[in-house]
Amino acid sequence: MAESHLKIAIRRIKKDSLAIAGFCVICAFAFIALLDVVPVPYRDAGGLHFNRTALDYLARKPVELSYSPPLARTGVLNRKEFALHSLHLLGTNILGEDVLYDALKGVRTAFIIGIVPLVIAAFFAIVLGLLAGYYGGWVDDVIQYIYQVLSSIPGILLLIAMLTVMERGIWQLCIALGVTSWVGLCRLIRGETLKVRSMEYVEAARALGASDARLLFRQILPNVMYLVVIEMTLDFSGLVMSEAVLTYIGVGVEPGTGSWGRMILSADRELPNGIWWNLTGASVLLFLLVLAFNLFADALRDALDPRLRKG
Amino acid sequence: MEEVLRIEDLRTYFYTDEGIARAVDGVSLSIRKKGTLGLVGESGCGKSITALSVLRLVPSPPGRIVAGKIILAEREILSVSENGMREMRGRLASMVFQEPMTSLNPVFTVGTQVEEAVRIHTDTDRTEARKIALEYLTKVGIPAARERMAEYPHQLSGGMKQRVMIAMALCLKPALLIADEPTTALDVTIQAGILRLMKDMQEETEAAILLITHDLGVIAEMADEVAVMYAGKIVEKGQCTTIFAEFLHPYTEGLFKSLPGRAHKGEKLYTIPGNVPSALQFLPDCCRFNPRCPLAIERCRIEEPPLVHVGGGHWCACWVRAPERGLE
Amino acid sequence: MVYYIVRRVLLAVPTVLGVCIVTFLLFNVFASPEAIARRQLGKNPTTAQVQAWVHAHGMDKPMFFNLKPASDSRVHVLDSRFWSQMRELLLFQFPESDYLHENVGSLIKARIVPSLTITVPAFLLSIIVTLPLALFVAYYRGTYLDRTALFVCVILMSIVILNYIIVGQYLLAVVFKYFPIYGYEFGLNAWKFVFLPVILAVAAGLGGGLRFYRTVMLNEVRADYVRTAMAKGVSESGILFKHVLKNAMIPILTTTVLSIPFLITGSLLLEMYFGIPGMGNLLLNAVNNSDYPIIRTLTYVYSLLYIAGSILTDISYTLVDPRVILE
Repeated sequence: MAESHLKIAIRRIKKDSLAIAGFCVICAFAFIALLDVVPVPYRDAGGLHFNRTALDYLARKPVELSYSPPLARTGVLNRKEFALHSLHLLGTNILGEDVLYDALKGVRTAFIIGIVPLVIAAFFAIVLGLLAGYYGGWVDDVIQYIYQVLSSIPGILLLIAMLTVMERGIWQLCIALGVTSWVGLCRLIRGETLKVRSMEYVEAARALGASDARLLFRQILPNVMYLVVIEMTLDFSGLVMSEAVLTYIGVGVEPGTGSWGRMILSADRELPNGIWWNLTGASVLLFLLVLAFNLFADALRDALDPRLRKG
Repeated sequence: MEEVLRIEDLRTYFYTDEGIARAVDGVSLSIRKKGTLGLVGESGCGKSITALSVLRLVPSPPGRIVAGKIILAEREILSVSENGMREMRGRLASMVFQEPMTSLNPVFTVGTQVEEAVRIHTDTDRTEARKIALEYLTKVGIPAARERMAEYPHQLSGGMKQRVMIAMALCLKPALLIADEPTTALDVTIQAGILRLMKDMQEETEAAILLITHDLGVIAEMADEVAVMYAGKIVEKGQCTTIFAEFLHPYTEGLFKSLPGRAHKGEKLYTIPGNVPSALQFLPDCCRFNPRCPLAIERCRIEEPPLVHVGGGHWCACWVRAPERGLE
Repeated sequence: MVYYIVRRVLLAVPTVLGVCIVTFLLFNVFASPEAIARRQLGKNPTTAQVQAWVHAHGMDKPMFFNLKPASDSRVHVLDSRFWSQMRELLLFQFPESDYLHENVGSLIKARIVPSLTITVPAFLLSIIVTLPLALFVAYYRGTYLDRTALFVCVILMSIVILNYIIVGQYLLAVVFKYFPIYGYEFGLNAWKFVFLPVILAVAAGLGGGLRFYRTVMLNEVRADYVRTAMAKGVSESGILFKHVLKNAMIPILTTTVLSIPFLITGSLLLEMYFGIPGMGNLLLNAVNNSDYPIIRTLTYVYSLLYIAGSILTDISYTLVDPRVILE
């Protein structure tokens, strides 16, 4: 009864209705993020412009003068009411921009911050972890030294330092986050490689004359991948949440990019004045995405757990 | 009463994602006072689960004792409360497990763990419990027991650990000792010592033993009676001497034929063709062994053979070797 | 034991040196001394002022090795930026802050206590609350109570810490006015200002902590020795509180002891939001003011703390796991 691990994992996940709900929510968010990637060009007096995305096309509302509560008819500026041009489901912020639109623009940023750093980190972690675990000796010592030094430096400081050097920007942030977070995964992969290296099927393959590279990629890597998958899905929420925190500290994405962190940051000034919708819009979307990922990632981790592979 | 343990038509099922695993599917057996019953079968036949069921230690979210009766020292096990059951575990019946490496708590000393057994069930204080623990640790043959009591499990060898387990199991003189593959994880040279120890302790404490194993050699040494299990059912049972000399069931025959000692030099070793079915795949309404049985006839595929008394306490469930004659 | 500690400390030396080198590269290679000077001197400094500042702070010296003869016509090879900064850090003669004009060492001394008044109570309270809860949930494992608790944990974990702080501060301090919003007082009155941040810190960490402890407990519950204990007749509470707990302490200690040195470094966000003049606040302001001496020194200090933490963790293993022998 040797079912492939993937099939077993999928079957187990299907039983967990919360995980499925989470997965659906993730898909919904991913769809919104995609909408924000597809360009819908428009033409005006200046020529053909490509900086409008499908999301912009669908969800952007006309800009008002200033704040207005959700579903209101009028807003307030300098204690004077002004009429609104259109209906805003979540109200408008200080610049009169639709809060729902602002929040939806943050989805793409969230996905980028959640995925790209992990891909970068996974690259370093896999290469260095495999090499360290497989070759041992001085290679292992050098790699261990590197990640000992890196992990002794507080992540936040490394981040700040790197971001001070590079300009602010979402891709710079991704690189910085990726470079500062590969150590944990590398340790895990190294450990697992050590375990797998001495397993019988690897010995057998080696006895049959397989080269090192072949062993690494064909035999060891697939058995180590589940760690990578688990870690990536677990870290997604952490990264998305840290974007908010980093923006508050001042090292987040550049202004002009959608950012839930920026919206939460503005709550400082707004809450005392009774303006709650900016904070709520961003927080609710952030919460839903993170919760969905947490539920799905948990189920995925349980499904891929080798100890539960009783077949 | 003469009988220490009586199991009647026990059924223990596991409700899993992939279906219902009928691990124990209608098992009946009994053990008399001071007797030793060996429960034999390959892995996956349900013998361990039978043993766990007696102490109601079957892991309970997937597993459940679905039907049957278990009478231990005149008490109806299945209708007792969990608290009542807890009082019986260790005192009326105790168990020794297969893996001595992991069966002892690594962070407590060996002496503490034996003392714990004493103090749970009796009203003794620490000094008294320690005395009893020391007494039994000496009895099971641990040299310099007083010093070794203060050691941790990882400091002892496998054989020593198993002796500690036996001391822990017998220090309250239970009526029944269940030993689940007690020597399987040990070196062959140590096995004999452990088995001899169990026999000696049985003499002293007058306990009955339910011995679970896949090793016919162990049965030969230890058991008076033997029951052969296959796919959740008992296919043959009787006195050891009878079964060893006149086994009837084709599966039992296969087990004996597979013993390496019986082959002559140069001969191929015998194996029973086919594989043990998984508990999820047990087919109802047929003899479960029939796919692998060289003697299978048409009836074996459509009707399950009952255990038939063949004479002298020897029972067998086979349409070919024990056609219906004297049912109980 | 002492021998072990000494060995570990010696082994840590190359790591600390590595950290110093990495920080030096990060903070010196990528920002020019003139730019730093300009930022510190305020609006529109003259070139002369910039030069003076750069010289006063030793930033016009070469990076690594000084091969030019100095005013006394001798060549001091080690009179370079790298070596003077190394000397400061390694000999614990901390520099002076660019922005605050105080010695970083005395700044640190002044700010440790406020940080500790938040982190230590939060740390202890977390353990006191989470551990019994985890045991409770482990007792009822598999039941609806357990599953609901787990779900609640995931929900609590999915709320960003910013939300806990912002909403908590707003509701409890601004709206209901139970606590002061901001500020700090040294001495016994500190508890008034520290109460809310501590509660919020514990609340924010509750979901993740409870889930972790529960996982650890349930891992142990599945072990063979638990089955043996049950066969002996040990009660459910005996199994949890004696057998499982002591084994569970091993992984719990890894995470807990490792974080003890970081109690000194303080929580960046909490100190920022509640105006607590602690180490976290110091670091944050230093970042905003590009105050490199502080950032440099704090990075070095944090690394030392991390290394101390890992040595402490390894030692603590011997207290709970008899199988561990320190070689």
